[in-house]
Amino acid sequence: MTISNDAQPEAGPSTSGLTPGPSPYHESSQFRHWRYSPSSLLSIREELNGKSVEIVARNTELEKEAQISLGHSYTDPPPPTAYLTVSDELLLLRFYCSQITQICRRGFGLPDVVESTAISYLKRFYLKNSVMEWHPKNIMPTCLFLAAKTTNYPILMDQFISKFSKLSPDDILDTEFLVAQSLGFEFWVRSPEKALRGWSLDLQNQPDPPIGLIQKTLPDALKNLAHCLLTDLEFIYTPSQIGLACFHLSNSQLVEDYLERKYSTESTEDEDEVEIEKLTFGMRKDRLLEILSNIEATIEKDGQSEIDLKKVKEIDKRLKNCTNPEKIPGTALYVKRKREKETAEAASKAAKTAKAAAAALDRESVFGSDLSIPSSKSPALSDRKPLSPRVTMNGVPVTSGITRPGGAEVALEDDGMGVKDENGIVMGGKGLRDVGLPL
Amino acid sequence: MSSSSRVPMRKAPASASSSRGKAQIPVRKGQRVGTNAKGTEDGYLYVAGVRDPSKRVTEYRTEQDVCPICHTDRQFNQNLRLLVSPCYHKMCESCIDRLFTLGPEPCPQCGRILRKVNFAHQTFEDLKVEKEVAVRRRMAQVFNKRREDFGSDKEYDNYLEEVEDLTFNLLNDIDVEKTEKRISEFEKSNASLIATNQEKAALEAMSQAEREEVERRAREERMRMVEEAERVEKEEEERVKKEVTEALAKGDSRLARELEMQSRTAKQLRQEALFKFIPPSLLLQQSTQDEIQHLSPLSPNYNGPFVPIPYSDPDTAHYNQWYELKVDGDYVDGRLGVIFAKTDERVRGGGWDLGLFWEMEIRAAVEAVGVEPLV
Repeated sequence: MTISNDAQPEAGPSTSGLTPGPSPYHESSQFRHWRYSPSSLLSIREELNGKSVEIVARNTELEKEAQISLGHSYTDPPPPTAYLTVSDELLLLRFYCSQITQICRRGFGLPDVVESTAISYLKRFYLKNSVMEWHPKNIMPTCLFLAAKTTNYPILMDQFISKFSKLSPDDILDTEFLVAQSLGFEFWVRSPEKALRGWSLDLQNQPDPPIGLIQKTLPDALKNLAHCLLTDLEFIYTPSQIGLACFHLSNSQLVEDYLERKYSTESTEDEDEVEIEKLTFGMRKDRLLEILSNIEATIEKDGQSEIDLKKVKEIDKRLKNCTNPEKIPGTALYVKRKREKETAEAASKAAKTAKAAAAALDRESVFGSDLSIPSSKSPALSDRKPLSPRVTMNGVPVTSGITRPGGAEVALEDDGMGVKDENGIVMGGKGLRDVGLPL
Repeated sequence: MSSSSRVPMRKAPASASSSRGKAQIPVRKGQRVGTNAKGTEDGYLYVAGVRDPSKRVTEYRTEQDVCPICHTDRQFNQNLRLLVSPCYHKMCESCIDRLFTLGPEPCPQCGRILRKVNFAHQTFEDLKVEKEVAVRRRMAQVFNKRREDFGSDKEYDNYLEEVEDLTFNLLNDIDVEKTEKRISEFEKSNASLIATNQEKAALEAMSQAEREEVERRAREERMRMVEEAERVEKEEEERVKKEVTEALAKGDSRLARELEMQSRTAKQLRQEALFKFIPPSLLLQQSTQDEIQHLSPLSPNYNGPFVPIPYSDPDTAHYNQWYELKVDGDYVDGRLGVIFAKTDERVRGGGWDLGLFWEMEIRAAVEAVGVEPLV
């Protein structure tokens, strides 16, 4: 299901020319394709939601018809209010993101990078598809599986499935390509964690570094980072900014002193007159602090709120009624679609064979059908008995069932000249059978 | 079987094949190979076997070869070789030796009079094919009219039909005498045309190889000339440049200009001289061959020369200015991996640089902090 192009604004400078970008981040797919403004995020989600509601409504009608045609009793489609809203979808999404964290840590013991990548995949997937279209309970394990692969901590399918009691390997493998496609095959997610580590290192590069303080703040910052995972921050701000904001949230003084020092190396001119590029970090200090505070506000609002399990369950129940019946394996509509697909494939195959047959027929019409060569025995010789009795070796007649064609050293082509026996092996000539027979 | 000597047998196939291998023009009608002492014809029409000037075609043999007359197989005689008579019956060398050393004898299978010298080795697995090859070869020597020799397609087709008819008869031993008569009639009536066509065919066969050789040599020559010309050009240019700079250094701009004019005219003359040997169209051919579409190198369908896509260079990038590495290069980092990298000898031995690892993390932090979010 595609969204209209204007819902996704063109990301910043790209490497469409042959000039290098300002930094590796600017050249990454994350910068080019996965950045949105908060308003556009909302509009995208609303659009997705609206479209999927339409599709579900239409398909439930079709499902009803399909079931009637099969002779089953039909269920009424749910009334419009029972469809999921955007906030419902978001809540469900957040719930499953938190699930990923739990499974990663407790279930597999995978490093953080897998966890953050998988959560990013899940969020990105649901920016391109709707929850009603694909249920997260299948997509979430798929995202985790894919993330484990792409971050080079792959999990074998058997081990993976053992942690999910209700899933089968096919559930995951069937959707894997879909997920990859929705991600645009852009698998490397630059997480804020690396930037956070970088900030923690650069903070130490001071005349009198507060090492102890930095070491104490670091776990807090990492915890904030974990909260960021449940928000949309990665689509709005860069990982560097989020990393710095995590630090700032745990200890604002530390970061502000650091920034003070960084910006003080500039000339003492009025900052407004200095070009942006010449500024430290390419941004004015107050603007940077503004961004950091925005990020922190979002972390505090969305990142730390508990997820209401009851509400999630209720949403899930509603979701059962308004999932797209086309995609659920058991339904009549699914079966019908599958059959349609199969007939379409069969039709195309039949068309291909018909074409091939027509081509063969053309050939025949030009050259005629194969000739049958008449018997070439002249009458005087035909009643002669064959001169060689069958050769026996040790009393057992030598059969022509040899495993290798008899070492014919003919340098000419091998096929077309020999006789194929039952096993399809090309026999070296007819062997004994016609030696001595007149041609 | 046991008493036969094998030595004389060797000669017969060798001589037969050599007589075949030598001649480019085939055995003509009058030369019946091996007419016997009485002078009567023996009734066979063609020389058996496949002619192969390149000597690449090997004899046909199978593991199951058994002589139909003496029933020797490879187990008894490892060097068993079954040769084929003109009437397409197989016999092992010792049988041939035994039967035909003393002169012409009837074939044990069909009664036709044969001589030792008429036997040839088998080339094809199927003797029918062998026969067909021989018959068709012989027919092709005689019936070599071409499409140009006929007025219309229909006449040509009728001619071909007749030839096929005759060939079929010969192959399947139908009305052999009548067919032979027809063939000889045709030969007599079209003798001159046949001869002309034979000569034409010989000429064509030779000239094809020659033509290719000539072309190849010409191409090489041309390339050499172009290279030479380019080299000369380069030398000349350098020389002229040197002279011009000298003249300018002396302050003699007029002389410099003169030299330049001279060099230009000389270049023109050289080019024209080159074009006399190599028309400019051929020279240009090489450059227009790679028709590079005007696609960006970033596009997946780009098919031009390799263009390295530049990536941001950390040594020259702007964000380089926004961080500095610690002087002593040692950061406080409690991660297990870092501790391992510091302490384990294997890591240091491999040349892995912890400082670079830290630098990359700092870069990741610093490079994108100034990016304005979208609105």
